[in-house]
Amino acid sequence: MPALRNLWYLALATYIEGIRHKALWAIVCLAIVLTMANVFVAQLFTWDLGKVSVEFGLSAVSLTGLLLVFFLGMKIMADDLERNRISLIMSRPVAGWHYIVGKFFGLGVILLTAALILGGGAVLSMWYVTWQFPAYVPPQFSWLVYGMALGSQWLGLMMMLAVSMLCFSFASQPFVALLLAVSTYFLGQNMELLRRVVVENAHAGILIGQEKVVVALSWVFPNLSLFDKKAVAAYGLAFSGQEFGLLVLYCLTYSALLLFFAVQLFKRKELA
Amino acid sequence: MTHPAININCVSKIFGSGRKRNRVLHDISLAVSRGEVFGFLGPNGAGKSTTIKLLLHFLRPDSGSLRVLGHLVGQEEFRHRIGYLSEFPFFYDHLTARETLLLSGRLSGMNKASLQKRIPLLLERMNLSTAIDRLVGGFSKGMKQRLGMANSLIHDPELLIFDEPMSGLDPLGRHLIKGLIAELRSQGKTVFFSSHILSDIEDLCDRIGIIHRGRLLYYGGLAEFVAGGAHLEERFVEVIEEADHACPA
Amino acid sequence: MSTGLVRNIALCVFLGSLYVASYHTLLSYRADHVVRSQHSSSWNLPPLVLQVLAGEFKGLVADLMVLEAGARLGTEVVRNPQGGFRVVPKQYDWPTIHQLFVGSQTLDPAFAQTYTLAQGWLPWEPAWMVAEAQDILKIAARNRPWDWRPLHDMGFNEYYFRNRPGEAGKLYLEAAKTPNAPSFLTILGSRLAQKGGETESAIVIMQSMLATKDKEEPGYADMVQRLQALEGVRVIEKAVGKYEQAVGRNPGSLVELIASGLLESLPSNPYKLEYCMDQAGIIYFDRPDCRKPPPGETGR
Repeated sequence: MPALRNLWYLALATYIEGIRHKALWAIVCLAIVLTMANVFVAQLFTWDLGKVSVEFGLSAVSLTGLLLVFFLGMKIMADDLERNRISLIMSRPVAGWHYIVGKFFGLGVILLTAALILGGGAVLSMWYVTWQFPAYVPPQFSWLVYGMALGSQWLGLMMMLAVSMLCFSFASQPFVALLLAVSTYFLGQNMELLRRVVVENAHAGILIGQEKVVVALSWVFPNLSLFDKKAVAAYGLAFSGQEFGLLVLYCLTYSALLLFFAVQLFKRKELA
Repeated sequence: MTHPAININCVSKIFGSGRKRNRVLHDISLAVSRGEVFGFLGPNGAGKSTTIKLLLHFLRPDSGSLRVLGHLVGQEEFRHRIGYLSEFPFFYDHLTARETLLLSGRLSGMNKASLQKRIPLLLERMNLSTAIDRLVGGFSKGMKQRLGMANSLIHDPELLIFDEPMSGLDPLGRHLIKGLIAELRSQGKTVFFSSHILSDIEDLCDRIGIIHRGRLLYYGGLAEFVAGGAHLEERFVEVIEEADHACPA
Repeated sequence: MSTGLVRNIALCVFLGSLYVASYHTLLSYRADHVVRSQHSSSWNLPPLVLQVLAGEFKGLVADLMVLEAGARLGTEVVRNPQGGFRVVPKQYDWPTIHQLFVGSQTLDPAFAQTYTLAQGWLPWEPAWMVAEAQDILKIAARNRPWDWRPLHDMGFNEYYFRNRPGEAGKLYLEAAKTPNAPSFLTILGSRLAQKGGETESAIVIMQSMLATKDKEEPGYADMVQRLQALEGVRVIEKAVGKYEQAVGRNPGSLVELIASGLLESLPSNPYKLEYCMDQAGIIYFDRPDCRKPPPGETGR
């Protein structure tokens, strides 16, 4: 099928382009250094070393992922449009959605690769803590939950990638797209908090009476806080396979919707 | 009935809106027959690249229609039958020349086996054999131009659309491309290329179109344009100056 | 040397001099006008704002805040005017330190380091922030259902600082319900709840707290003293118990107890006060006139 073939080759080309990019390796090196520092940072504390190690490791994955989405991913997209590199692709029998979705998958696999490298480093540092300081690891700590937290981290990054692609499909300048994506990230991270404040708090200031607006916003913007399972992994709290499955479903459906809108907007974009 | 390779019918294009509104093409109409080499010339900023981008559906016309190989642009798929070289070819810097052509070929529907055979031959024709597995980011401008040419030919299209194909090339490179265009004509391919280098037009084209400030000033045979022993450059300048006097900027 | 090179060197020297002069002036100005803020504005943010700013890195920011709090506690090395160095306690900014604990807990309410450090410093002299420490421990207990220590520490504070053994007992019993809680919590809780066997309970409380308290933290020496005093009280109470069994009533005074031969001599009191026994037979180590402190008054 031409569509699948095009998706595969576009994703592959994007992946190779990204993997060979020096910026990617600089980011990964930074994150590896952070992961190694994890072991030393954990020893600055006398209690809950395990929780510090888990959070530090997962935070390194998150930070690296965000850097990859905002800088590498957006740079690849910006270069395509600004340097007219996109004509290399769009002068071929490639539909707009092939390009958008192919790019998404290619960048997504780059994120997955980085998450696996850093996740591996985080696991190593956490394993060291469990070996050296077993008494300071929460009693319910579970490697399975840790793995699912890592997976959730990646799913959240994929949502942000879909947001970035949407921003790129309509923003006139790459910098504007970047600003929009970063703003969406901050809003998404605090969506749950905002909703809770407005619904539960009588002293919510100007937001009093705006519960419906805030709830509506929480449906429009990605609720990224749902994917933040650092505390869950750190303390070994409950995280069921069912919840993880629902997170996967939420990520897939929301990303698909965003990509759909991105494709519609991209079709109307002129490649001047 | 054989459709023309290219048929542009009363096409206008406006960029911007309000006070920044800028009409870049004014009711352009021309046709390119199959098997001919058509030169599209004009000064810088005349609208040559815009016309080409309209043909490729990178831009949408504000009025009129375009057909490529009988297919209506924007409605029917024809890109598997054309090869395009942009004025400033940009590639993925971290792919090799081989990987770039493989990507383009596969996107055009070619199978891997035929690509594995064709890529080395094409790159050799473009004097890029030694750089086949080098990252494109390390290529010079001339090498990128030649790679762009190879990229446009990888799937053996019927119609080639080149935007300033000699741009950035040294005399050897220009000679290579001119020889290639002549070869393509002998194979029955249609070549539509824009240029502001008149000597190339003189050497290669059957028919020409002259565009200036978005208006088609002349469209027809090269021989008729330079009838009476005039040089192409003199006639070209004459036509442009006439247009400027008639419609000052 | 060419003119161009001379010019470049001169320009470099000129720019370098300007830079050195301006930076030196700036550093001197800062040294002369050191402003020690009462409250660190960086951390003095409302909890909601902290949460928003921390985003998905709440745990990391919480770790940082508790490290910052820890860095403001303890001792520091200062230069003696006559030469050499000496170790002095830091100048504590308790409102800021408390704010750091609260901020850390807002971001990560389950972090053990926060409540442990807060308990180690806040209720004690010179902070005397018992209520604040209890609030922090309460939140920790709610968010760490697997950890018996926050409730245990709350119980200690109720007993030691607020002189409310009944409340302390309830908290110890609550702590005892935690999975893997040590068995002494149940016994301790029930004793205190019944307001009976207080001395034994108090000794167990002191021992359990001393087991986890750092010697550098404030109150360690006080607790050791208190333990010694309580052990002394226990010796006297046992002797009183034997006297009551033998004679059928409590001794009229400690002198009478010693005269009976059931107690060779009074144990030494680390507070250098005389033990007192009231008519009900309760022994005081810190009230030579046997005056009982009212409930709620913070103890030593």
